[in-house]
Amino acid sequence: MITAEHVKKQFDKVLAVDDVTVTIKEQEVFGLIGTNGAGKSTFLRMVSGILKPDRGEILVDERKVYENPKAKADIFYIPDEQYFLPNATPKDMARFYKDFYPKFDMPRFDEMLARFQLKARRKVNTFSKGMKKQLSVLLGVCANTKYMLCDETFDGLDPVMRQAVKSIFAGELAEREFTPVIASHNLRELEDICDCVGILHQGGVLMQKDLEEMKLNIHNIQCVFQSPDDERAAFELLDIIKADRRGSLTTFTARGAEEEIMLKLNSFSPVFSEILPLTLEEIFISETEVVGYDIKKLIF
Amino acid sequence: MISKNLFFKLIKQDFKKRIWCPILLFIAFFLFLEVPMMMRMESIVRYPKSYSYDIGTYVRDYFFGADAVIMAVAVCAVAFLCALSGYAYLHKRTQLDTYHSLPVSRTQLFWSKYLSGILQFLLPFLTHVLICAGIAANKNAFSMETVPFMVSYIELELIIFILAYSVSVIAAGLTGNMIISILGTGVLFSYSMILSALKLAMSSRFLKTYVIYGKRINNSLIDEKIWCFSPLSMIIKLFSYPGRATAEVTDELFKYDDTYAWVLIAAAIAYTLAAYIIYLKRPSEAVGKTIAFPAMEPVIKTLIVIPASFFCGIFFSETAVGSDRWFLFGLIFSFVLLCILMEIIFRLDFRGLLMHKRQFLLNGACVMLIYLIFRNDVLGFDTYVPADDQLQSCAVSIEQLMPLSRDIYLENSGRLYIGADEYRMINMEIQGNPSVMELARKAAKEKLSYRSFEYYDGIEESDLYIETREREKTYRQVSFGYKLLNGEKIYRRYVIDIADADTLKLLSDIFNDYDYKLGSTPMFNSGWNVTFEVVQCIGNFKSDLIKLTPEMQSRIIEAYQSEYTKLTLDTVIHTIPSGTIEFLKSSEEQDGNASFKSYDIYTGRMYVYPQFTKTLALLKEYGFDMEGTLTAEDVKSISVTKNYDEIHSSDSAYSAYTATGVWVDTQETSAVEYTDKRQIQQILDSMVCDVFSWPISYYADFFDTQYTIEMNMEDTKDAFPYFHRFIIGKKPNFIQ
Repeated sequence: MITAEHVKKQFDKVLAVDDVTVTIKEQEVFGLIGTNGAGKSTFLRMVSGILKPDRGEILVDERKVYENPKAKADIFYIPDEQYFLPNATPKDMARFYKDFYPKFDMPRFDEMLARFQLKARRKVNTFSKGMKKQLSVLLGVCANTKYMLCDETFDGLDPVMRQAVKSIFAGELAEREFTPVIASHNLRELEDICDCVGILHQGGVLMQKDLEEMKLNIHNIQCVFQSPDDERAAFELLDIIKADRRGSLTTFTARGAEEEIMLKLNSFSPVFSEILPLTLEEIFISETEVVGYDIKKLIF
Repeated sequence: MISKNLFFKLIKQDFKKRIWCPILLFIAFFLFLEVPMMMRMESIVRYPKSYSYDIGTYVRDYFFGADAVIMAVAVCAVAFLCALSGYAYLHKRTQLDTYHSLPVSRTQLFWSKYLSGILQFLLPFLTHVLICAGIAANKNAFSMETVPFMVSYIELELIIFILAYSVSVIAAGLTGNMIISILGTGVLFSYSMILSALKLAMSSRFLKTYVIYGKRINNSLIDEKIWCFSPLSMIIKLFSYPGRATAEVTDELFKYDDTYAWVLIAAAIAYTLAAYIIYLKRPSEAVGKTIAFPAMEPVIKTLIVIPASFFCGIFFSETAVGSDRWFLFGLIFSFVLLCILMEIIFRLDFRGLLMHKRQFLLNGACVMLIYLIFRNDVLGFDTYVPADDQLQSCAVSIEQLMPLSRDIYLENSGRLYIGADEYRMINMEIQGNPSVMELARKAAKEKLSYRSFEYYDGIEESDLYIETREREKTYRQVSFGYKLLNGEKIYRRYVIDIADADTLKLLSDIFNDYDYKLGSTPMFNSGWNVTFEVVQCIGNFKSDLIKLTPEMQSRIIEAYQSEYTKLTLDTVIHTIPSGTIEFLKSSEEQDGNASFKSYDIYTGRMYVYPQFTKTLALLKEYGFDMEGTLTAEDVKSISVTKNYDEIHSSDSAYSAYTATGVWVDTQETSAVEYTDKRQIQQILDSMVCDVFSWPISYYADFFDTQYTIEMNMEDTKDAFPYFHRFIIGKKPNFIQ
């Protein structure tokens, strides 16, 4: 488990990370969302032991990570712009990381290179940006570390490759102790992979939620009430986040379990009612609107 | 165990990462070691007469000895390359993030890079040194005797490498980008030498009595009172000639001082530890910034801006022929400019140029304070004379009074020369002569100095200029070397006025002192023990070379010394010398396939007065009659040239030249040839060889410089290569 408590980092006069408290549980995919300059990279650099927090503490499995090679041995960090040795091939890079990560799985790396159609002997500096990203992920996965920190890793990957990477993550999660932390400025990138999402804004964590929990606890319903009085009464009964009416068709988002909401709604015998699927984006819009933020301006 | 393995893996990785570095060094060392070695060996074999040593001696004493100096320069450059390429990742975020995210401690990362850098130098260097040893062995120029020389050569270059390397690593650690790192390396590498040079420049500019001795680099660039903490100062000091001028020590020229090598080792260790601590403390976010530790910013700015401003002030001043106004302009202008420049460098942005106003004002105040201290000699440098009870002995050198050449030449590993003043400062020890300190106190109190004028058209006609130059005609410089009881040596150069009877009396007391004479020339220094081959004798009408046997040499030096030590200033002022003698060493030189003998000046021309009867008799015995005369029958004709106001015209011509860059010779000549034997005889009776007139004219005013006399002999084999002057008051009436 990675825990950050009241972590602060300032660069000259710029407060990059301000009083961030986050818990990243094991065996879940943690998404770190935020606009450019929100502090995602700084946070990940602190978690990976590159930067020392000015204040607060970051623990990886209850060990301080800064200047602690034992703690860092469980972390593989993929920065937004990965460094490759001059004139190195994927194979050279694998050998490089094997020196630091003894559990680096070389046969698997070869196999995955072939699967991703990356040539083992081709110089990395001739790779496209997307190919470099793929290679970074493969190196990270084959390093067999418990935690993998990915900074904007999915940017630049085409949809097919993104899907492939996601399937690798899923496989790793199923097979071994694996906790990827993925930072992105695009929530849609993480929608179908993250278990838990933290939103960083202006250096601080706006919110941290478990996606399943959020999905189970918020619903979008479309219905036609028999009368406006029924609608008013139903809204008083339900925990409404937002509502919209077009003619007789009312669409609203409410908090609570599906059965509970439908039970309360059906007590007014609506002419028509159905649950609509909610995108992660809609869930976040709804949730953050409550706390007074227009999240559309922040992360989309 | 894993950790140890990782350490070596890191070194291996670093080697692989910058494999270009050892390859480049391998080629560079080939050009610096094998190539010059083989070239020199070939030259020694082809032209053996041009060298005083064989190839075996060359390999031992030069290749693994004296040439270490040249190699040290290359090694420093290599050290910078190895350090900056090794730690360049500190200046690139992608690399830094990768390395610092890896499960390896900074300690391991630092030491692996550090050791890798050293190996990148050492492996190619050792390989080439061994190849050189092999080449030498193949030519029978390498023996077991050479091995210690080779080992100490390797040790020495390694120490120098580590010293320069660690300083460069410090610079890389302190800064956040490569260009600033390179600048920082330059500053750290040479800062104490820069301070010494600045002190020298400022003292020479503002302090009237400031003097340093020697044209050797250590004396000019290393100030004993400034701590040599920078590698460049240390390296110069290591290779410097020790501050004693004896023949034995001059033989050690360019060989390093073993004891001082330990200082370099200590410094290399200290700098390495400092580099390590800086590396550990360096925040990763420093990448891209100018300085990694913001707290150091004001200190660094001050340490750079203040000395640099003064250097600029001196530059402007020297460009404007020593003008004070231009010094001040250069100082203020460069100070403001440098402050702005430093803000730009530190912020990497043009905005915020006038940030840190308080520091700007504080530094400005420091600059003005230092300027005023030097300008007004607030610390009393020029008026300082040590108290008698502090003094162990004193050395004095009186400008142009001793018949010595300006420089004393010695042939050694190359040509070494020591100024007469410097020789005396090192070797003379006058004790118990109260006139010495009395003259020093008088000179310090009077604060006389030569006035410098800013040239403008017609300045030589101005009353002030004429009056000043007239007054300064009797000014002479006297150098003092105070050797204090605490071992410190203090040097001052005063200007005295010999028109002042009291001054002349004191000067006379010093000149007449036996210790003064003894310490004034290496001729009387038994420690030098130099063998001469010839003595060149110049009389009034003839000159000749006398070949010397060791016995002849010791006899003539003994005779000359006994008579010379009795010479008084009064005699010098009132007596025309009979001639000069000059002891020479010969050397064989090669020009293509032909070899010829050349003579090196050793002592300069030493005056022989008519009172030196023993010397004159000995010279006569050796075949040279110094007091021999000519008759009109020996001379075919005499040409007398009148020089138009020689001193004045050349003075103004020089002033005009310095101001305009165009030399206009205002000297007018009108040569008259005399063939009448009666007139020739009269001229012969009233002239004296010019060789004597130049230095002695500073004190003995009996030469008429308005006329130049040249003899045309009846027999060309009697041709006399020097011209003559009339003795004042003896010029025949027929000369116009």
